[in-house]
Amino acid sequence: MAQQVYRRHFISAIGAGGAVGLAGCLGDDNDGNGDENGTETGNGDENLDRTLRVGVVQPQTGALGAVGQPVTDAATLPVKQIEQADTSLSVDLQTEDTQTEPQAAISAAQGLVDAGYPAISGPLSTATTLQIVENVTVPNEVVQCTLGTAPVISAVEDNDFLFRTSTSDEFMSRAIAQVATEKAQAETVSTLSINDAYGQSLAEAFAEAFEGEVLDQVAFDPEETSYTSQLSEALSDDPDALYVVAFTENGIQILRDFYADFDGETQILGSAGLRNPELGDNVDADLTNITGVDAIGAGPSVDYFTDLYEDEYDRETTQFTWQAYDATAVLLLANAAAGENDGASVRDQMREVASPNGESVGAENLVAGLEMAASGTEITYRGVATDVVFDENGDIESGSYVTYSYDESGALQLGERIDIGE
Amino acid sequence: MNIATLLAGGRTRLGSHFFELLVGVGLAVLLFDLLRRLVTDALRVFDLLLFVKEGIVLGLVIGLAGIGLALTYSILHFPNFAHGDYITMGAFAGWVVSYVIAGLGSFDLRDLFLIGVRGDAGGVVVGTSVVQTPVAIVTGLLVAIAFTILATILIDRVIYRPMRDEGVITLLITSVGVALILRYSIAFVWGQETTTLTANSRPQFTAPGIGVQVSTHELTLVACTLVLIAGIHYMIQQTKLGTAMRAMADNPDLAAITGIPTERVVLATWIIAGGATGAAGYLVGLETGILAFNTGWTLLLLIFAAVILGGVGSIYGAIFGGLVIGIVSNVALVWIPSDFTTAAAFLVMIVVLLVKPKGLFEGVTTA
Repeated sequence: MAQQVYRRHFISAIGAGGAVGLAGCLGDDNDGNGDENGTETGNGDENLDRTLRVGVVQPQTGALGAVGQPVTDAATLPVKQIEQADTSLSVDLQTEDTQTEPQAAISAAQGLVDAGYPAISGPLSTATTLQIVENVTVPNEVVQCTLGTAPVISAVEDNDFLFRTSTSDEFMSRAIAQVATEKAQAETVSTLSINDAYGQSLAEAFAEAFEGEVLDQVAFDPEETSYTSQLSEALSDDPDALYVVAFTENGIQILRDFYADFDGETQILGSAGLRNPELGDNVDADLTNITGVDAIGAGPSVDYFTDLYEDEYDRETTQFTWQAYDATAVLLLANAAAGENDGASVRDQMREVASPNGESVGAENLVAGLEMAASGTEITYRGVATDVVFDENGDIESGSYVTYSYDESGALQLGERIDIGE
Repeated sequence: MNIATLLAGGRTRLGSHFFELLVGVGLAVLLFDLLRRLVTDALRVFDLLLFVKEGIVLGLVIGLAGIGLALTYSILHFPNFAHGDYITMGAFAGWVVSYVIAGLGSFDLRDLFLIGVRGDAGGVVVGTSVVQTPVAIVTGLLVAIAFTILATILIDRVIYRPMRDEGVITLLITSVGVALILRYSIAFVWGQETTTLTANSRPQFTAPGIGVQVSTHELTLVACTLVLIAGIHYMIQQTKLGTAMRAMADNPDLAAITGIPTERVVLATWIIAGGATGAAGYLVGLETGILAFNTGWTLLLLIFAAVILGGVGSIYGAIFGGLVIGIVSNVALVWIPSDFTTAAAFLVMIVVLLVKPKGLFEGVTTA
């Protein structure tokens, strides 16, 4: 407790020193005045000549390393836009690696907070997010915008410092429940899901959302050499469909065991991990009984973002790149509107920059949007992944998904788009 | 005084019997419950038989992989933590050759070398399986054996031999180092992703009246395991080398005094253990159909459990221990959710060790 208080003093001291050193003329901000709405944003020039500070924490190694690298690139893209533009605003960015480990994530985030960053964009996984929220960002009053998807994030005691630009798995489950009923025409479904926070929360949320009957819910350990026994357990009550929540590598093995040891007539509902163009090269079977759902970027400025990302990094956008861009962009906009690198002030602007009645800002006019926010104009950030409107938990209020399936030759086919709102 | 000692002794005896009694009662209850579930249809006979079959296959995988570990432990007297990565190494060496033979001409050599991790040469398109590409499979198996033998001898010459007389802890930590070097050398070339090895394991044979399917690759695994065990059994029991190995396992100093050329026996041990380990790696890949840089490391804990359960140093113990671990971790699904079944297998191992501290095959030092 005592140490916590000490740390906060220390940080605010560092933060104040840093701000004075950088801006030189910040003037009369006295710490902790109770001004909730940040009304000091009006005086233009001073705010236009600032350095916006933002930290990015994402997994670059560990289990999510492969997914995390493109996501990190997307999260730093708004900063590149500002650096390349002709503007008096500047950005101070620092990127840290969570290693997909809660402990490493805490030290990564703590490093950023100690260095005085008022806002943190990321990380990807729910487990690391929860650790950072509890140990770093909320106790130190730093805003965090995560990409974790588990419903539990909505319920965290965060003093409103935690936001997310990815949609909760509740929405994903409603989309897959809709596909189960309408496309697969299943009345009974069993689930087979990976035994971590992601798999369990998705399976539970599905059981809530599905209108038919959920027969068996089986969790699997991702390090098994064979999943036949687990499949047999999940299929023992003969469901119409089996919902498989797995990452690609377990998914391939589960499907191989499924087609080798069972009749292959049960419909398969797939999580995002089963959407992979190489699935047909790895599973020698008729894959036409698989239908699944994956999140896509479908916000107003997604096309501009896609071009920008491909030009900058020379590869296609992948899952969570849209949400990562939104996270950093909205944190920077809120920072510009707040007019100071202070966590609580940035927090108070998070909903303001996405409120519906302002000037429309997206990936294509981000820098102009930052200048508008800094000079006190009311703006509306319209996201890349979806419309960014935060509810009282700091969650996005809508999600866009796409169905996918495989044809007779094993090629991946994308189907219709599904939009899920509150 | 006497009475107190007597009482204490009696209590200890009762205590140990009490524990065995408890285990017996527990087993009886589980067996009864299993029958009840089968009779009341809460558990399908098909499911139970499938669990047992999967358990046997997993058990043979673990047991086969454990033979090499049991051998080197009994002769060299240290647990080789690099064993798991010897398995991975053998699998990669063998499968690269299988891919090159199966896909030469139709695919780029570089893609074939990367066995589907990158490039176009995925398992399904190359079409590797026992039935479709028997030559590639047999050659791959032989290469896996040969390569692992050479690599284990090389590692022994360079690393283990200079520290032969060091303590167990030194050797153990060194072997962890060797494990890490091997694993990340493999990851450096082939990456950290899992790759699919085989196209399929067809044809499948359906056991008459039961409905459980057995694949060609599972039958191959069983056959190769039996051949390997028979071969090693003959070698250890019937040859002069085997006698020397058993002597060294019992008492290395005495063996050296008697004139047994210990270094040559060590060399022979590495050859046999390396060959068995390379074969195990290749066959594990064949049966599971997938391979990653950490496949062997992931299996190592189960392998150690099997070897300890069977009685450290006994190759039959390794096979039997593997079967117990495999069957328990699958049949446990009847009662507990699948994420706890490995824990159940280890619980069984601990219970066995409490009742029989030297493992199931205690005293039968075969190698």
